[in-house]
Amino acid sequence: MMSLPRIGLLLGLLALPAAASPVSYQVAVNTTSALGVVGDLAFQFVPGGATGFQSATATIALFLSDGHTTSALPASINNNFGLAITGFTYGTFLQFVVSFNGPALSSPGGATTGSTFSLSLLDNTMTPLPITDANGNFVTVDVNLDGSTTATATSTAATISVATPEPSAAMLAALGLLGGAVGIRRAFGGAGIPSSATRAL
Amino acid sequence: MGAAQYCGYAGTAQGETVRHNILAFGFIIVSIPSTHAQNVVTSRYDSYRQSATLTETILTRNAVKSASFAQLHSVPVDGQVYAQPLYLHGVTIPNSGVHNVVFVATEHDGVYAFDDATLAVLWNKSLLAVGLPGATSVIPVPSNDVGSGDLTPEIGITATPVIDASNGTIYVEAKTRETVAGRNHYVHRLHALDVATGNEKFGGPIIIADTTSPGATASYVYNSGPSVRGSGDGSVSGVVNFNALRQLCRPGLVLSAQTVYVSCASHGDNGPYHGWVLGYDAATLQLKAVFNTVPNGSEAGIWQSGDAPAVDAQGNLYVVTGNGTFDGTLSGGFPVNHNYGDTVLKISPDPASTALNPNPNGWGLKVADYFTPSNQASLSASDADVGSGGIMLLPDGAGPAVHPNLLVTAGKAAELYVIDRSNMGHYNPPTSGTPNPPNLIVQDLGGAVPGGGMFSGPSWYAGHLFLSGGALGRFSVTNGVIPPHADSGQSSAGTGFPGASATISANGAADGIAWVLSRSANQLIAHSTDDLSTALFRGSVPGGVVKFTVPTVAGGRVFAGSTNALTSWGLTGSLQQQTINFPALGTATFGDAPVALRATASSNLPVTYAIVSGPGRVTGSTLTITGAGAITVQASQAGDATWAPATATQTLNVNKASQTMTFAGPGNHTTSDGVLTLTAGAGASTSPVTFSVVSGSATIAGAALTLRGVGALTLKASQAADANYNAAPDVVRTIQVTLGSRAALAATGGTPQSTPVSSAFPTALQARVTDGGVALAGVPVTFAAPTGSVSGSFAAGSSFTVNTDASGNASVRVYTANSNAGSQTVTASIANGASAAFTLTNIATGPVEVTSKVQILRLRLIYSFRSHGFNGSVTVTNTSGAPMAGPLQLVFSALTPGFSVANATGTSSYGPYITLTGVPSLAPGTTATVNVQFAAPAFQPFDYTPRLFSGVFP
Repeated sequence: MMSLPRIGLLLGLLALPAAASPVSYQVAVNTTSALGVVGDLAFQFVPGGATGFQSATATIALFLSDGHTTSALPASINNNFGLAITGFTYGTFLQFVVSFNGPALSSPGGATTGSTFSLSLLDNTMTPLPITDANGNFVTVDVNLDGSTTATATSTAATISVATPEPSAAMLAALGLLGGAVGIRRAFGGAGIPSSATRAL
Repeated sequence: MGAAQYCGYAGTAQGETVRHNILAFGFIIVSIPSTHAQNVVTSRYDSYRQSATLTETILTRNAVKSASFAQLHSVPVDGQVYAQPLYLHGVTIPNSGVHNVVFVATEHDGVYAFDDATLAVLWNKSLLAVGLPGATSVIPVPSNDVGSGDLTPEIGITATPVIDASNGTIYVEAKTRETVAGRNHYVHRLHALDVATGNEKFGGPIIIADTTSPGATASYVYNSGPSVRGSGDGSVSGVVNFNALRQLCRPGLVLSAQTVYVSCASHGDNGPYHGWVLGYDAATLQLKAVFNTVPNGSEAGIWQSGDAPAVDAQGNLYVVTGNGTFDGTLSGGFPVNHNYGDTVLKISPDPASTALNPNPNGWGLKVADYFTPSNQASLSASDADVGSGGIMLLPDGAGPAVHPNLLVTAGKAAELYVIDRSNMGHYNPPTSGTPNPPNLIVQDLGGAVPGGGMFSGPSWYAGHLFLSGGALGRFSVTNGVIPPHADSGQSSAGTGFPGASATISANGAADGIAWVLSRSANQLIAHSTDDLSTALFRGSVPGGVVKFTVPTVAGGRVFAGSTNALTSWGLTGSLQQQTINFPALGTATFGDAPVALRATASSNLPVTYAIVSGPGRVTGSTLTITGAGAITVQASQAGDATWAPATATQTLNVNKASQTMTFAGPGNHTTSDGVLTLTAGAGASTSPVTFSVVSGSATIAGAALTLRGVGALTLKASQAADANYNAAPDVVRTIQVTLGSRAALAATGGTPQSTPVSSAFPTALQARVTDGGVALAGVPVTFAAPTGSVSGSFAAGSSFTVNTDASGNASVRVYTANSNAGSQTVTASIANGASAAFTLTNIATGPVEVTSKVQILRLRLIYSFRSHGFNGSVTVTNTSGAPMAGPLQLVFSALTPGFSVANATGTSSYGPYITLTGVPSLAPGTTATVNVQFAAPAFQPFDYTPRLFSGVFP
């Protein structure tokens, strides 16, 4: 199991320059204060307006939590006002890797509006948990007009960091997640790892 | 020929001779020669213009063809002599005794009286001495001014004067150009001169007409002169005025029934002109008759080669006109519009008419009868004037029984018209069936004039008519009938253009001689009237023959004018010739002491002196300079029983004297000191001191200086030259003019006005500075913006100073309202504290869209599950390169229906907007960020168009 202190509470901006390959961020949220709460995870990927943006896709992978989902996690979300809500029972943490690609990143130019990916944690009345920011978000990732990205942890309960895509690191992460999954299953009475996270591996 | 006729003479009470005709058949009546020479007081000797003297006893044919007949004297005159010399015997000249006098008039406006024997100058008079008030120049009219080379280089006296022998008056018509205040006046005057002294008489001269012409613009100002009612060429409001520039009075003057008549045409057909006959009372010189040949047309001048109009015993005048308007349509036998071009006119006094109650052609004279050739239209079209030659009345009774009283004339077409003076024939108009109807006159002799067109006058002697085209021909008249051609063998050699008017001298029926001046040969030629084919005498004419001129025979001598001299011919007899040694006179300066004249005669006889021309006076042998210019003095020795007369001339050139003028200047002044009177100490000339502004703001009228601005003012005083003095050196003075306490300031433009906030007012602010009603230039005017919140700015800030222009105006082109709406007062002020206010209004209106000047980016739009709306940010970056005035409003146009801006500042006609708080202006390249909250019905796509406006929405 990966302990929360090892993930760290990274609150602040994390910017990456434009890159030809997908850009990935590791997101982790301490949901201890919401342990047992039944609610929803809301992923949104929204442009500044319905016109004037370049297309981009956010892909969710390596989802890991000691809570459990009650509906399918989204495989990917487009930035054309994309929104995916996943039923979720909160454990003490959740984490995942979100990767961004598409023309907005690979061949930026001519856009007048950027796009922003964000994660909101909601209760069963679709009300943001108290630990979220004013908008109900934990993290945001801006896809800027020049193809760069800016990641922000908007809640003290969340961290976001650049994910390293090397195979060795990925292998270690997979092993860690596997160990974590065992721990979670023990703590929550056998709640399984979401299939989507497995698919993302 | 079985009959001969000639005429005797009798002097009239006024001096002009009226021929009393005696007609005889089968015998000859010889008049008794007078004990003295016949006077020649009018053009062509008498009022019938027959041009003959029948009392010449000295110049017999034998004498003239002998070696004793030769040129006697030739003396210079100051201009061309177009006028025929006149002659009076027995004139008492003050301090000089009794002389037979030859009178000569010149185109330089000179009139001379010469002793007939010696051609010594008895007096000479320049008619240029009289001018309009204020005239700075009085000169003969330069030929260039009239646009014709017919008469060069100048026009002065052209018409032969007329003399009233009964009271010793010679009447002269003179033309001048007189410059007054820089404008040229063309003036015709009638002078009445004492034959003994040349002094003016009867209050003369009088101005016949004064016309101002600006030159090339061909518009005229008729300052004075006669006029008639009509619509003719040059008419103004139904009035035809005498144009003193265009009219030339070439025909000789007429004296008849106490009236002096002046007749006129023009220079080279240059219009507007008309044919005129003007009558002046001989004793008072007052205008008493005006006659216009074409009051409703043009031209029809009276030229007559200089011959005076003929006058019959009843006082009717006969003139013939040149090409011009003739009304082909008749009414009661007369032209319906009273226009008489190419017409022989009989004009009678018309006492019933007045200037206020005129007849159709004027007043004081009227048309009594007329003749116009039936081919007048073609004559006029080809400029074949009927009136190019003179008109002559045959002796009364000389015609056939049914037409006893005839006149003859001929024109350019060389067609001799013989007309019954009592029934002149009017006009026989062409019709379609008769395109060339006959002229209804006594005789119509086409091609009769020898040598071609007639540019001279007929002559009459002993039953013979003499005509000259290019040659002189004699026509023997039998039973009142004139032959169609000159008598066989009775034509002279050619005399060249324009022909030659013959003067006949004879002693009754004996020794008839025809004298002509040949322009082609430059000779005086004498023919026996019985043999024109040969010459009794030929003698060169010093200076050259002038066209149209006529020799005068009187007292046994022949006199002829030329281009520059008067020459006499006569019998020299066996007298010894003497010469006069007259040393050169050199040069002098006006104001110099009198000059001693030291001419000596080879005969050792005493020499006398006289002024030929120029500003001088001779007393004994002393020449007193009376002005600058060339003074020509003639030294004469009259001869005696042994010695022939002799003359010599010399010219003293008198330069103008210098003069000095003083001018201290008016000293420094303020603009409130009113109109200043400039004074200067004039030099010796008669020219006035004139003042002008060299630099600075002021105007001058005469000596009145009006200050029209502040600063340095430089004035100049000048005194022009006059006839005797050179111009004085200019004196220049500079003074300082400061703003006076009385000076006032007024807002004259740009108030009230309004403009949207933060924009320039559309109309320049203008203030005018005056002092006592006079606009002031160069005065600094300061415009100041108010200090309140509602204000504006000039290009240079809160105030602006500019000097007034020549109209006293100071203007501010750019004044920009600030961003606050409301009224404001801009104040203009000048140094003396005077001020003016401008009421201006800053209008609060919608802001100006500046979207094109910025880059707008929409970022970080996130749906909020708390507010159930979208939150985002918009960045605005100034890309215009210039500061962008705030406040700035971000407008969300075309927002998807159902969405709204939750944190909107307001809603405009373009959509909801958010004011960019804390952004008073946006510097180039800088970015402002606006956070926006959209209320959404659900999470769903939406859009809007961001737009940026500068200013405040109302």
